[in-house]
Amino acid sequence: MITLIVRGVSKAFPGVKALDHVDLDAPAGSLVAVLGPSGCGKTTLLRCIAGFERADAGRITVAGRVVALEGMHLPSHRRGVGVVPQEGALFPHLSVADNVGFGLPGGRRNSERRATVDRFLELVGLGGLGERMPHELSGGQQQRVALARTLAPGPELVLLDEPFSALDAGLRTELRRDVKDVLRDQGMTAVLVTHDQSEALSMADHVVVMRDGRVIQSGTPIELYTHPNEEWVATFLGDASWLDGDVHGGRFDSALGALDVVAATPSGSARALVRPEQVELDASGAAAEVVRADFHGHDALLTLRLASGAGALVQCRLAHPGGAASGRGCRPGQCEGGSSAGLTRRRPSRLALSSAPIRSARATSVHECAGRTLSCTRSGRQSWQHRTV
Amino acid sequence: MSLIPGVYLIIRAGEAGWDRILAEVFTARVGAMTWRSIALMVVVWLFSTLLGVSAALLVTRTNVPGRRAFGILLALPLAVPSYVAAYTWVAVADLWNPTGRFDGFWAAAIVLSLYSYPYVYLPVVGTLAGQDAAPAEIARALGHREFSVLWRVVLPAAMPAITSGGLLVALYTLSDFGAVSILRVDTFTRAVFTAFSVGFDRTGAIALAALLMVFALLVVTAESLARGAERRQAKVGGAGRRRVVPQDLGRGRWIAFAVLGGLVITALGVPLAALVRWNLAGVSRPGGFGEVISAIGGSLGASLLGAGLTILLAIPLGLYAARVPSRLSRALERLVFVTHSLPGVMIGLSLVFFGINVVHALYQSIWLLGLAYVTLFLPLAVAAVTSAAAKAPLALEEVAQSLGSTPLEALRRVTLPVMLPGIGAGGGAGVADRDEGAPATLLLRPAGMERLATRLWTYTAVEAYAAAAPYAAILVALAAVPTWLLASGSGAFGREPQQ
Repeated sequence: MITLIVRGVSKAFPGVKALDHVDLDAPAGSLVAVLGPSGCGKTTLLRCIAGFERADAGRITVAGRVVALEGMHLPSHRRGVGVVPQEGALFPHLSVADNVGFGLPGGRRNSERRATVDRFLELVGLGGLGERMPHELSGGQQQRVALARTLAPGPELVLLDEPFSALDAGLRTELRRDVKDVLRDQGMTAVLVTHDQSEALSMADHVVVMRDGRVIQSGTPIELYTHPNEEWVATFLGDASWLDGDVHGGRFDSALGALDVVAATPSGSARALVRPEQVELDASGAAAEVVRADFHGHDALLTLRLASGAGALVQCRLAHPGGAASGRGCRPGQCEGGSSAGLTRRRPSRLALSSAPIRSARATSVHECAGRTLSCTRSGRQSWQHRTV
Repeated sequence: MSLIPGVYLIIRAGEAGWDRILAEVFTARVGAMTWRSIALMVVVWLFSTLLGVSAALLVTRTNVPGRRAFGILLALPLAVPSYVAAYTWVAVADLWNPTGRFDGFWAAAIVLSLYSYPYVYLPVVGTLAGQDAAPAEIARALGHREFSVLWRVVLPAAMPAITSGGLLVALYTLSDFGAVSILRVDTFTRAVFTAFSVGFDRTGAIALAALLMVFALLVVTAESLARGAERRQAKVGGAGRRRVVPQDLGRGRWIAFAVLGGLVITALGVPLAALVRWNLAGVSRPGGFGEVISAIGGSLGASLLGAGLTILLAIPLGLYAARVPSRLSRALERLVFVTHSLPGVMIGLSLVFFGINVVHALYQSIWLLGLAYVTLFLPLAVAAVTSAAAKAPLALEEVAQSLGSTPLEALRRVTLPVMLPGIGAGGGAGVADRDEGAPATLLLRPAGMERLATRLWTYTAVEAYAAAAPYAAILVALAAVPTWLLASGSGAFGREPQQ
């Protein structure tokens, strides 16, 4: 069953078209992320679903009930749609327990209500903090209370409006994971609005990318990441480099060499997407120069200028920057000798690579975005899949 | 409601005819009076801004000894109505020098400044205490010295508070009647009242009042023009605000202590000493006690009715002004401020006019008095609601609705409870302060009804200090409670909620 169906929803503010025929489906029990840069209309979409904003056109259905139609608008208190706003928005004059119990029937002394409140506080990991006031909690705890408050009355659908953006990085990762677990545990259907691509990719079952009030693309996180249908989507979702080349005779000729194309791909010039983790350093590959190295601890991102192909730049992710196979490793900021043929180091060099000179960067997945889609998935083998957009 | 005085003025001015109005306005006497009123307004505004801003800076940004206690004490002069202050200063000055009388322009300027600077002090303290430390630290890192940081970063950020506080002071001075009449300074308000009470020269009074309203409009417009550019102060990042570390003044902190102490002693000490002295003299007077009780009753009854009506009207108005920033809401806000500058007597008269011509049933009833209160207090109440509304953002109401509350329920369960402490403190201080509706009350009260302010008024007029003292003391005490709450509840001195 599909809990939330949005069809052709439009909304204009004076001078801005905030939503332009937006479609969105959220199957029961799924977590859908609406991803886009700020000002893309994602928050307006959420407010239309919640009933805070009246859509100009289109239809919104929640759990089989139409809540918004042209000329019809069910007020938000009758929609059964819960909202977790940015920074929690806890009621400052009520204790944590009263916040969680706000949407529940019965008075403060009602034992059933108290049991429900305790259960949901327990669920979000804040058992025993019911008597605290909101200002006595940390930002992360406030967000947990906001989630418990939203879940307690048993809504059909939960909307999360950038709920983690005000938290610091460590806390954010932990809270994302916990929220995802709680929502899954409750079998709750949820829509998460965010501008953070890693949040959307890591939490959601389904991602909808928006820009300028329109849905650009939607799909599973893996589909979107590997098969974006626009350059903009590809860049927005992660590090991306581009290779220009020609497709003819089932092969893509580029600065990284000739790569096979699996399906029947129309011949002609094409542009391919290369993700950094699809490029490997290999002694027998194309020659390249390291232009830049960014060390991230768990990996490092190298920017390479290919010797052929009019100096095209390609990024490459090194999985073990601290200890490469040779044992000498590559450490940013440190210069080591031992370069040879393939790799011309930039002076002053900022990075030393393994003893084996780098001579090739081999693309393992290439994706073309000029109307036709090419992609290659398996590492090491140059196989091509073709998909028409 | 705020329109009634304006409409009244226009109708009466129309009846009188423009020729007579102009003849009334362009005279040498009016010229001198205009000059005096404006000079007084400017002097009081300057003094109050200087006092208010420096006191706020010392209390929030330095390690002056006893800053917390000073923080609250410095707000308390707000609780002393201007005519009580003037009366106590005159009474104390009498002890020093029984032959001369403490009055005139500079006397009025000193008294009005000493008791209206909290209008600047309170909002500036609020802003400074809430300021993030980061911009000042960055300015320092960019090579600015302390003083230059203060001048270029800290004060500009507090500018909206300084200007709006200054606006209140200016309007307050323009419309003040109590202090100037006790201190015998011929300003507009005094002339309006005299024109009415002596010989009932309505045309003259109306002409003057109309001129006064024009001045008020000019002040409000000037303020909003000056503020136009400052409104757009970006508020960056909600999280991670740090409190400012107070500046160490070294030995200078004892000088600051002496200055603040001196201010508190002059502003609060004089009325306190006078009230204590004259109360001791007054208790021996027979029959005083019952009279006082009945006046308290009258005062409370009318005040409560007025306060209730005011709050009822101010809540929708203030919420509208805070949440829907539009041309209309700003115009409403400004209209209310302009009305604030009208002398109480004008408001009283316009309501008498309203009572006789429009709703005769209300005339001579406590309800009309209640309406007078509404007109007097609405500006302050709207200001209080508008600032309290900032604590109850729309997001809270929306969340309540998404949890199943109807819009009305959300207002009752969330917005009102969150706003009420702010409204109560802000509104209460204003109500107590504007109790100087004395002239309005004199005109409007149902026959035989006594109020604290009217009593005080009657007795001061005949220099019966001892008889007036109990009323003054009770008025101050009543006003001090909400002022105390306002100052201590502003979050500047109490426990900071951790965010």
